[in-house]
Amino acid sequence: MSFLRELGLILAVCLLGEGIAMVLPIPFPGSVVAMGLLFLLLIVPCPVREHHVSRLGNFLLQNMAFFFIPAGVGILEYAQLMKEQGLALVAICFFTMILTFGATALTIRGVTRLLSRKKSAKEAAAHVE
Amino acid sequence: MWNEWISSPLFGIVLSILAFEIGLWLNRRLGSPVANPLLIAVILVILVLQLFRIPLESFQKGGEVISMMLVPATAALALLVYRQLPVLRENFLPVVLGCLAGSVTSMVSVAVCCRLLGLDEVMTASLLPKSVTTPIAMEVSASHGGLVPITVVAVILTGIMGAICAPLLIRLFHVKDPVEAGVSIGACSHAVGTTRALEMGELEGAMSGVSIGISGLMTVLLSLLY
Repeated sequence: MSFLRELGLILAVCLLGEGIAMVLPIPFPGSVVAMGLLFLLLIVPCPVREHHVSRLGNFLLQNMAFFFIPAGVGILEYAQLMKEQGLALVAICFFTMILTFGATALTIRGVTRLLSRKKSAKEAAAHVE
Repeated sequence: MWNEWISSPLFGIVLSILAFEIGLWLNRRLGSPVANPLLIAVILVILVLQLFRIPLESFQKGGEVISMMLVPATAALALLVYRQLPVLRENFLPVVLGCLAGSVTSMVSVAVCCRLLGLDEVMTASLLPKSVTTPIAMEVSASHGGLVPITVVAVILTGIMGAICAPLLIRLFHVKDPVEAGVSIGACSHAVGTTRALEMGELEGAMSGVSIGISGLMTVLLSLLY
């Protein structure tokens, strides 16, 4: 598929996502709706296949960080606020990052163990019968 | 004439690309997660603007064009989840519940820390979604009255700290399973952390990528409750 058509397809999905987000009764990001729509398109049997969006998709994924530069530069407007609260911001980011890692890791381990215990109990029960 | 020239949207776009390329080059050269290309690019652009006394509005004419591409960039995350569908299917429940626990922990701990340190509501709303990928964090922050640039800085900082600390955290929490390691890295430090997870292994990297999408979605849903 031509690059232009790929761009058209992805932008159309995004536009549709933003439209859906506008009519939703709750404040939900249009970009996340678009992500869900694209995922749906890929998993249901329809003419849109992975290779139809992979060239632009890979470009966007590989250069993801680039698109945040203007948003980051916007911090200039808040220089005073950063001077006053920048240290607190760094401390909060660090501390909560460790907690988030721990909570995720321990939950995955717990659930995996629980599931495998259930599975082996089932197998043992089948064995007895 | 100078003012007219820098007010062209092309100025902001070219400056951003140039700054990012320098950031990528330095990152390859130094090979350290501290030398984050995005962080370097943002600092370089700010330096150029300050040095030549260029108003932020002139730069943002081009900046708005770049920011517009954040919507398709977020949508492209679907591709990442789609490509790891088999591994995700096999570990569906642990991964989803893990991301949910991570998102809840992140938001609750940020809210508590902000209260303890006496930060106001605007600052709290700006920091609340800081563990997830930037486009989603920006949207959540904006819809709750946060300051988007503060959110972006917090997200980048968290990502860099996660990428640096990932091996230490794996030892601290005795993580043995690559799926567990990958998802945890992605849940606490999104795409920047994922770059580090990719260095550890393909499975770690893939699961970290999947958890960017799932944790992002969880955070959006949780923020509706806030």
